[in-house]
Amino acid sequence: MNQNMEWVREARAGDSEAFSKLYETVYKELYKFALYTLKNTYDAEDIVSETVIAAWQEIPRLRKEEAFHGWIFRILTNKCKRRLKQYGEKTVQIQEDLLCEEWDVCQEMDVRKAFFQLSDEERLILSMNLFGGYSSKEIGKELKMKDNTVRTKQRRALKKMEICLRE
Amino acid sequence: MDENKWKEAIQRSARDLKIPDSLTPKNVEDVIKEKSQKKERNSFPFVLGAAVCALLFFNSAWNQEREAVHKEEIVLAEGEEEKEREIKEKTKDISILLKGGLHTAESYEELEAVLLNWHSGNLRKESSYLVDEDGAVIENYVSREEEGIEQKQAKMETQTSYARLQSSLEDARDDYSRTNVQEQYVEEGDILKTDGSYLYVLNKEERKVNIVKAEEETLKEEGSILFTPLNEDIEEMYLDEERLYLITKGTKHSVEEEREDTYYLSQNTYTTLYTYDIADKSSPKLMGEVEIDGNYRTSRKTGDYFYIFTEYSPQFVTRYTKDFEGKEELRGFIPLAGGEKMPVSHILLPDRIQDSSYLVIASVNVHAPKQIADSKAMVSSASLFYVSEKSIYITLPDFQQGEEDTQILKFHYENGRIDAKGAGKVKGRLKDSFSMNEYKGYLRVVTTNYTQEGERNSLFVLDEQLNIWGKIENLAEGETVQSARFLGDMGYFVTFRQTDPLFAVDLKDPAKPSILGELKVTGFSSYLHFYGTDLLFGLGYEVDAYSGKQQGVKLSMFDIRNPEKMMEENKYVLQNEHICPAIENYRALTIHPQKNIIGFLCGDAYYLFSYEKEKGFQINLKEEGFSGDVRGAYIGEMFYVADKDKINAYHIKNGFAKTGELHFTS
Repeated sequence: MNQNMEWVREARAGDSEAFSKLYETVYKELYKFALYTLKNTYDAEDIVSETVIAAWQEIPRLRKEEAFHGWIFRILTNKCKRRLKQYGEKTVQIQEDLLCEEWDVCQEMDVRKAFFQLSDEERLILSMNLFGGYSSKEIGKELKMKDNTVRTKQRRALKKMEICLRE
Repeated sequence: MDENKWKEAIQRSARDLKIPDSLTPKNVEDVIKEKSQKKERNSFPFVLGAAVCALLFFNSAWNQEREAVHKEEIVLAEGEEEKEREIKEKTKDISILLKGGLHTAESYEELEAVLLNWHSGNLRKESSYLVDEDGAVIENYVSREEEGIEQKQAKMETQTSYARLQSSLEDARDDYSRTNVQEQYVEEGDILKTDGSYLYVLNKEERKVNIVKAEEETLKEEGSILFTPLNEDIEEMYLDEERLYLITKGTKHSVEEEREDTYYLSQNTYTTLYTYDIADKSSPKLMGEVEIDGNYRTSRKTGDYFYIFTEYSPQFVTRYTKDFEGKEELRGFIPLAGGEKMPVSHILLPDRIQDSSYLVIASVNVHAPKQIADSKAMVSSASLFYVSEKSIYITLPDFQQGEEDTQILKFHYENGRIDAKGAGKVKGRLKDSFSMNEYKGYLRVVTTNYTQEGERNSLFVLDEQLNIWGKIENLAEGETVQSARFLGDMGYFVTFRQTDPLFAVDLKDPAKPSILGELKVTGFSSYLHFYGTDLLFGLGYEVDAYSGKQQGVKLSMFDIRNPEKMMEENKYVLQNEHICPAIENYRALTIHPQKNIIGFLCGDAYYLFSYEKEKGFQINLKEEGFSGDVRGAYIGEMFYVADKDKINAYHIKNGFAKTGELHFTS
């Protein structure tokens, strides 16, 4: 934790190396979050690079007590929310086809495919929990719902996956 | 079901995910290092924008014009060589960024080709409407053909990347307020603006802008802009990264000598956009100005472009001869934009001419503030303006056989280009621009039809060509529409006579809009605003149901979670208060659901409300001593209230305790 704070201090002062060290601690999870929420690799890559640029731009505003991790994930979450809104009713067809090319392991592919069958909100909530490390309370705060509601939706989503994968 | 088992399964499925090369820490560090070497970090979006635009202009003018345009467009660099180098640097950035999310541009050359293709193919296409110098129509009014898919894609891919970056940066900086606008991402002018560090206050009477540094509890005057031309009045102020803009309306008289014994005396109204460089807040510099004929009506700003609407009346000129015999002539038939006559191909003629004045729409690229990017004019007047993210809708009343219809004209706009799209008609009159809303290409409109038998209200859904796709008519007979707001597939509007029904409309099927629910409450709302996911805020008046007497300004919060069973969850009436500028001018309202702040001037005091389901509306601040136009804004945990003479600062977390007051000295 102390090392992080040191890097934050340096990054705020303009040290790009320190910033990339901070980035290193979260970058894989950022991408996983984006991919699992948006369902396609192009947009995920796009949105993470936008998030990184925004974070670099805004890090001087990062208040001392805030964790870099939570802060950069908030930026990413907001971007993903906005992007999901833009999708509207775009067909999922094309995106799924593109994804299939990249996967090797059958089982993992099935889990991921099942995950992508969930609704935008369900994917967002689960991504926030599993890749962003948010608690139900924090998710509730971000998405403006009660923590109980978050837990219920999460449970329902996981149940959906279970049913989907059993068939 | 074991939740953890599934959570682990999901995490496992992501374990061996291949992270794209562009996102590895090493690559990211390289990209950032280049940026940190630039002089001003905060001007990054501007720099990128300049590069994109510089490329556009750079590539478009193949011949001698290249040099001249080039110089004008690049504002940051000094010296020819340095300019070239900077463009190359900047474009390298673009290709790195683009590489991150798109797969078309792999090199500088390829990028150049993509942009060139977009630019040359689209910027100056001929319009389908032609009218000659005398005003006669040469070609009929037809709708435009769709652009080629390839061109569209190329255009979108390069432009949206930058546009997304712009908005992404705004996302991260979400700790200060913006002007309350009708459509997100379509900016409107206002008398108070903030960029998160400074507050900019426009004083129209004294023709100045005060720039104040706001740092937590301290307020400090940093600089000002004094606007000197006496024949012009400031109408709007806009703000972006390093620039401040003023739009003014002016009149000029001129005397022209045609021959020794013949003079022309003319007067005309014009609109000017002034662009100021405010990188140094203590000394703003005028960077450019551009003039458009006509009386200022309204304006919008999206991305890098301004869209300015004016009303131009052909000049009536008095021609005096040496015998002092005056004779009126019609001169200056064509409006000027940017000092030049608008091309005849840009002037449109509607089906039926009802007015001899022109509506002029001109666009200006913020990186080229001395010229007009595109312009269109239409021989007609204009009543209301609604600008969505993609289209411009203009309404005009159309009286026929004693009934009032409304003609709606549609323009498509994108990156400064303005194209006429079509026209349509609906029965009845619109209350204000909020009576229109575009979603997925469809235009939803609410109107009140004043017939001989009384008032009737309707809702129409028009398609992209403005044909009526679906409608509901004869609603709330005897009442008139007071306010409307749309969000996605739902629409809400309020009608009123003695009581106020709030209607919820399902708009999912454009051909079959249907009323889902109706809620009757006393009084009415003149302005609606979505507040969080399930709430709709209304600002209006409370009226006594029996006497019909207006009791005061009312705040309402409607629970709209279930449109069939809407409820007025809470309300608050400011008894005997009737003067509230925010009711008729939505920009005067400071409303931020995410911060739970509702602020506006009412009577003599500025009120700040917050809302909670259990407690309803709570007054957090009621401060008197403001005059004229008052606005509120927040930066982080500080709230500021400004009128033309002073700014007060309040600490949000500290019970809105007043922490400072600054009176402008200049």
